[in-house]
Amino acid sequence: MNQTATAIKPCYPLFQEESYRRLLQNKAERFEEKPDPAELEQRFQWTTSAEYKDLNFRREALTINPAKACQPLGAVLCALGFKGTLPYVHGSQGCVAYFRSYFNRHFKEPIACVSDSMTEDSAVFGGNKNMHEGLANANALYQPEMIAVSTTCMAEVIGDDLHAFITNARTNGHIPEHLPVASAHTPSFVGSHTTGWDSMMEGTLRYLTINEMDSKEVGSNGKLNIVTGFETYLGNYRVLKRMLGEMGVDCCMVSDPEEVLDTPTDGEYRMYAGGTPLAALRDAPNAIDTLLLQPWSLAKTKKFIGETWHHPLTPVDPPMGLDWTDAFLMKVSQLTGRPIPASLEKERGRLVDMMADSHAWLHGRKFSLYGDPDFLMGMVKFLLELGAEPIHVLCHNASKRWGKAMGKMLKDSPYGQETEVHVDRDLWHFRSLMFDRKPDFMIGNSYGKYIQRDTLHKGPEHEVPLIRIGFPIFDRHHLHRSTTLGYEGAMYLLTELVNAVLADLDRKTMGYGTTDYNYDLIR
Amino acid sequence: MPLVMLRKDSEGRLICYVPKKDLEARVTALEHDGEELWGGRLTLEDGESWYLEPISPRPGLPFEARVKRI
Amino acid sequence: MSALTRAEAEGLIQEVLEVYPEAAKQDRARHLAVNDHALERSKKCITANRKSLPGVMTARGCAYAGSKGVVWGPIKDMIHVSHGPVGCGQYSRAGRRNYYVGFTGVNTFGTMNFTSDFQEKDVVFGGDKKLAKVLAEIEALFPVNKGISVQSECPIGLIGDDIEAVARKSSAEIGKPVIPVRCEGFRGVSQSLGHHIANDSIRDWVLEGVTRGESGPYDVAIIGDYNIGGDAWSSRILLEEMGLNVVAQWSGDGTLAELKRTPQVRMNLLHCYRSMNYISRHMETKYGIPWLEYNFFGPTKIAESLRQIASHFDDHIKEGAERVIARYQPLVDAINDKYRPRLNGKRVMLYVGGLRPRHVVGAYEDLGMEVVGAGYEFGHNDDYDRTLKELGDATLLYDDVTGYEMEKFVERIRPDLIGAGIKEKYGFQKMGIPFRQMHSWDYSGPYHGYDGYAIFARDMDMTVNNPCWQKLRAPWKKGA
Repeated sequence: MNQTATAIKPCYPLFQEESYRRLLQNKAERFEEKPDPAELEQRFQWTTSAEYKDLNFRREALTINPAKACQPLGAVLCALGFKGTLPYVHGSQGCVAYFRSYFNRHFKEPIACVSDSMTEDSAVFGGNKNMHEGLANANALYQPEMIAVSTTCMAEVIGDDLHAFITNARTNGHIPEHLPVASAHTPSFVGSHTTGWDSMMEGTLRYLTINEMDSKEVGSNGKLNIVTGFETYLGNYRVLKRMLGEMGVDCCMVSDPEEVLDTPTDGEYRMYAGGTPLAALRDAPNAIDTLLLQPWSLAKTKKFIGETWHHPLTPVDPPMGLDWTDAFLMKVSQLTGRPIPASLEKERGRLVDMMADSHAWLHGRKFSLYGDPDFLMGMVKFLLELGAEPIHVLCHNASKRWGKAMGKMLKDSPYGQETEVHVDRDLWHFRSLMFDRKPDFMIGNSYGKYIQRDTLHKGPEHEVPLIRIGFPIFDRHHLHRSTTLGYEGAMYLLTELVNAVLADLDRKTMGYGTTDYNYDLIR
Repeated sequence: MPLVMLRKDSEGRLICYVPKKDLEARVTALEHDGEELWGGRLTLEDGESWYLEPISPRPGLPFEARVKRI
Repeated sequence: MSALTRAEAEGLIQEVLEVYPEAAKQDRARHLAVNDHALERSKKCITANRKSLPGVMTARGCAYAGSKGVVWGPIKDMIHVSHGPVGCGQYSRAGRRNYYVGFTGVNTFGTMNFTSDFQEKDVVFGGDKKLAKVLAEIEALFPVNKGISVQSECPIGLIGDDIEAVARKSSAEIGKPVIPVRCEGFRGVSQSLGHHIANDSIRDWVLEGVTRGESGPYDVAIIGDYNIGGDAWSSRILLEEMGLNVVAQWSGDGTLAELKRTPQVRMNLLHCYRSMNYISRHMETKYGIPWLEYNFFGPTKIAESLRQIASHFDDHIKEGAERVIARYQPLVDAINDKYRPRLNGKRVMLYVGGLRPRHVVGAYEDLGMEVVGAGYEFGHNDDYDRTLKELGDATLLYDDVTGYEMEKFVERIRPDLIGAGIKEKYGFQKMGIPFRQMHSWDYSGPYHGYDGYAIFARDMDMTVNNPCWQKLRAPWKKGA
């Protein structure tokens, strides 16, 4: 008997019970034709070897454990940031089930998004009919202020013409004449989720402003537009608005999902909440300038805003860490004529204070990291500011040009001399790297937990603990509400890093009667 | 000419399964149910009737066959 | 509040349908019904397994999800390649909690994601060459794999690739099975066709040429248990305890060797009818292996199932079943004594895949709870046929329910608990309704078997009776 009513055990520790251990062993020995454990162990060790790493890096066709997702996922996040907007994905319905559950798991929030459920006959005849019915049904049921259409690879492969389909839907009365329907082609076999965010942004801005440019004048509304790119830390939307607010700068956060992805539990489900008002989007060309906070991931948006809105598009780096937040605020000040207030200067001072307090635990610590291109730029920049040493920087969805820029930033710092940069590589490559040159920690999304397990299996001295910063984070709660941008974000990052170092030291020194030294009360 | 499967359920009753229709129905009457000749008109519990070309001798169950709607 | 009367339930359906455009209204009306015990056949009241309407927010997935995610994915010593663009494999990676033990990356691969990561040139020029290379690279890096399945994503079927030819050639080269699966996401109307396609591919590429083996008197296979949270293990332990010899698990914690061994069994024990009735029927036709549906949720159904299974074997097994039932009875009593007072009379609405809306009813009833609404995401009419009698008369039935409908039903019925999926979870929690994910067991489980029932009871209690649900309104608003 494995359970008692007083101590009910779920999977762990239930399956630790003797009867289950026997069951699993019996199954393996009698039915699975499983290789001998000694052979498996030997094979495992081989996967951690230099020989295996070489073999692994010779891969040309196979991707194992990617560190990227596909375009429409990004398009859905972008669309969620517009007020009253229903993300609509034209193509197979399974994709939408996946996007929703992927975001559900990360944000622990409901995600409203519809599909027009194309099937085999739509593959033959095209998805025009699906689009017509889909728009009509979605509008009747969910009464959006705007519908934002993106596409799955199915619709892209058969070559559906979104623009024509939507125009027909309007002409034929399937949707009200004045219901805005923005669209973007988001083929999943091009780019990644960050590309999709960019495409949806570009498509929406184009749709809402391209025919109204005559009345627009750069700078006439006195605002500054902020475009975050694919951004999953809700605190980042908030900190940007707060900082600009403290400066007295009127800003338009172009796509702002921080409300709809963080609604209260008070008895009411809000399908729509917050978001950038459509009027603000239409007014956005009148801003002084648009700042693109993910310069490596917003090519289409940049092109459109430059060519059509004629904004100067003052270049900024992602405002991560100290220097780039300084630079960001100075740019904002320069563009708007508003001084940086004492409140932000004090906040900056507090960050520097924390950096001074913790430097002894971070200086010279070695980190390997993976994630999206602009996140990595900002994260590496901050690590260098802390005197920490990036060992590997791996990006699955960046360009070679990004790799060069990253390499240059590292070479310019005394702490980046030993860093390897890997572009268009996946997390199975990253695993090999962890065995090749062991860092103290890796920084990345939840998928890194399997690499940590593998390094631990090789032996405690090989273990590379994972610090969870990135997207998606499925296995820890509420981290997505944190902030990684601005001084506030740097404080969060620094706190995470330094406490990871301290907790790790505790773990290694808490051996009773064996490693009592360095197991300190005060640090 | 849908493909059906004839099988016995756990209580030993003859069941006709029509995969295309996700239909599992009890066979309430079978025209020829002998050792020498088996098949003919099949009546299902919902009243539908199908025709199965009679087979000789009686086949083992389960048995897959094409049937005609009557 | 008690359950709705028939008239109220019918009225609610009409009210919810009001908002739809005319054609959509007629379609959806066929999928919403009020249970009627007088009916023998579900098709008289409800339509199932039809296309979802565009734009209504269905919860359904696709054929790829049914094949790679459900049927093939859990077979742990094979590598399942998500063939096509990068997304599908990423979104379905390690999310289903189909547990296994093994050296992941060496001889088992369940939580990994292998993909051909299609780029534009692969779509334009075809992906067959890339696939061949992918297969060769897999063999070089993971030589202990037992075989490879190629799980087609949407573009494969649209660009005219011949993955069967590539699979045959690669299979000959590496000397292991390479199985092409045509589970492109646009095929069919839901995950369900993916289950069927996956079953057929096992039939054609794994069982082809396998003959009926020498059968031990007590050999059985567990079919249609995906070992969510360890379900198959907490089921297997009971079957072994009663004296049966479980030679294969399909497919939770399953292996290729087990699949191939299955044609030796005396009987296939089928848990998830929806996803694996196909292969069971095939083995019945080809090998004459009978199959039996059973239900290991909750002590009433467990005991019923154990006896029913035993009735097909000799006295040794029959006595074994009785011994198992008797052995666990004190645990069942203790669980019920503890949890029934906390859960008695609570009303549950269910919306799950293709099996659980009927299979978990008994477990809730064992706890004194009542199911007041139920629906399948991708059930067929034979599933509803099996459901009508399990549920109370006048229970609300909803097939492939839309986000809109479910919200309206819940607003009106205000159940004490909802059991559905992650896409539904957070919206209903915001409405203040306790919610359990009934696909993944909400990161708990197992729920099968007696060990699982204890966890099930504990989980339902913790969710229904957690203090958070009393805190929805700010105290200064209570008078308002």
